[in-house]
Amino acid sequence: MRPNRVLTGLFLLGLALFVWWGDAHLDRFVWRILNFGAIYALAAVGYTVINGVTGQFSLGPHGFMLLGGYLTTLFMLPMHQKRVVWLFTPLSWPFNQFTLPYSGFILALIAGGILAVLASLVVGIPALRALRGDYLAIATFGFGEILYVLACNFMGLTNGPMGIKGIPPYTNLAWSFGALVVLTYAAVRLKNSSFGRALRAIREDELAAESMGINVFRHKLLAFMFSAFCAGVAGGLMATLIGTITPDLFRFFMTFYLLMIIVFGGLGSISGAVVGGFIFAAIFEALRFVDTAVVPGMRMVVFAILLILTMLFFRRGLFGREEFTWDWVLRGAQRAWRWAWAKMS
Amino acid sequence: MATYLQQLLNGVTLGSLYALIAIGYTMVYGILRLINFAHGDVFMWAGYWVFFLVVLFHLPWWMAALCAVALTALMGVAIERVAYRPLREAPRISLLITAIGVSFLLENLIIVLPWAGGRQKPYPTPAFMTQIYQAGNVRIQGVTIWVPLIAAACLLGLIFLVYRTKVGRAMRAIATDTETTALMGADINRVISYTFLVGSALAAVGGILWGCRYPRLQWDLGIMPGWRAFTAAVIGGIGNIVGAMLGGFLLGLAEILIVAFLPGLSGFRDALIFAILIFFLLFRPTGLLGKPLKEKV
Repeated sequence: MRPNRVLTGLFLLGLALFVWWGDAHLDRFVWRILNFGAIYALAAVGYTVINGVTGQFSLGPHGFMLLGGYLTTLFMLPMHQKRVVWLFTPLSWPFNQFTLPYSGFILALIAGGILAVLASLVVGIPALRALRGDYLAIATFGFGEILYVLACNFMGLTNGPMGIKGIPPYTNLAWSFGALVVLTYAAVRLKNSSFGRALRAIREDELAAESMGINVFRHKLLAFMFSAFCAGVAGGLMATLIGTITPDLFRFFMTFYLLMIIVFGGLGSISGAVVGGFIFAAIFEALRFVDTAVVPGMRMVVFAILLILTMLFFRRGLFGREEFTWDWVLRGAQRAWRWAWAKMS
Repeated sequence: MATYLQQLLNGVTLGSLYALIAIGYTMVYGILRLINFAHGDVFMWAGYWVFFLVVLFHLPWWMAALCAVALTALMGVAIERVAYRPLREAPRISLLITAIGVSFLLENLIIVLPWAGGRQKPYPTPAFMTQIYQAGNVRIQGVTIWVPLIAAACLLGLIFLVYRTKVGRAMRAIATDTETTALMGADINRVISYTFLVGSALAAVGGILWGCRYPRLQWDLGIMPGWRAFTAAVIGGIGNIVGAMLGGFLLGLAEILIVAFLPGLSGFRDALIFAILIFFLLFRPTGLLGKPLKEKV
């Protein structure tokens, strides 16, 4: 066993213990922030795979989160709640026939992810083939907005702008951290495989990559599908964390948040996306006082200025394109140890 | 018949508003290859400037409108100077991300400002805009006459500026080839500032007139008109000024006709706009009037 593997194993063990302890004993306020952090991080990991690693600028993750959120809700909402919520238009078949017990939660989350993947095919197959750069950004943004309008209008499935209440709050640290660990592991394996090298080649120079025999479209599409899956699962977790869902929960500002996270973490760095997600959730709560004490909306002003400043002066982000490694930590620890030793003697 | 005429006039009014906004998108795209996400919010700010100047400073409407055009134009120049110019050499995507940031900043500044806030505000509409003229059984509001006239005057002025003046020639040159234009001794930064000045001023005229047509002010007022105008610019062929005008009128007419004669679809209006936008990007990215772009290797 290499020492890095041992350290990773120990870290995961520690994380599992922390989650197990935290779900029972952690202060509810901190617990909630950690859940949000993990969910943001999960969506951001997927987002950075298409935006950072592959360099294909998508602005649609809020649409994929919306799909995942609604499908998970429709699977998990208890029957009595299903009868109460849809007042004006009855709930459509097949969702008025059944509901899943808690043991089906994982199925509901995966189904949400798969629905998002299917939607990513609908937009990705034409758009990734024909468009790049800002045109691709606009097309994916437009797709997200179309999904929003559909969510507002298909009352039989979404209950329209009034949204759905009383979703059982199944999400806890075990679920959010579990999903984050599994999908981050997948993303890291993806990035370090030959597939990931091909993605990075596409980012650097699409034409050169193509002439090296990389099927550019297929690689882009797979990266896009992966990012949609992450977003779909994150949407499902978020709906079952908050307990209500409206179309407005997944509007463009959600993509704005994710964009902030991956830009600040370093475009193309998966570690950056994870760390950025938690930092964002923490700052989001820490700045709540600005909204309550100063004036509502001030927080978004601060965020917008932060994003602009990051782009102007700190474009590399926290991690750049690098990843967190144990070697880096060990070297740092070694240096600190030597320094302390020299001080003492 | 009267209904058709009335709807036609409404369509022309809306179309000329879209055309005014679309110019700003298309000029900036032609020169910087940037989709200026913040343009719709600059448009929204123009209405608020009028509101501030009339309500807080008690200026007469026409003076407030003129000052609002000037302030909005300066705002556009300042945004370019502070947020876009330092990123001139950066990847284009960085520029787009910054533009998204600026857009959120402008929207939320309105929410935060003590005189504006998140709630709707009434727009101070002057009397000559709301006056109703009767011709036979066609009733025409002042807005429907004045908006197309003012828009037409602005667009003619713009065409003169772009095709008959030195700055305009520099703008067209930069749109074709920035580096060569710089080598010819044109001050690129100054020309780009002018572009933002003109684009934002036209958006301001659009915003002020929009307020007269739909007299409610809200922070998110610029978003959808912005996207519709952007769609108009794409339909006309982005980078093409005449195309943006054409696209604006087409889109305005289409929208009014759909709302008037297929009211069942009006809930899906925004989705339809984006579907048109995506369709054009995919199948005719150069629009109706644009020249096909050859890919450079």
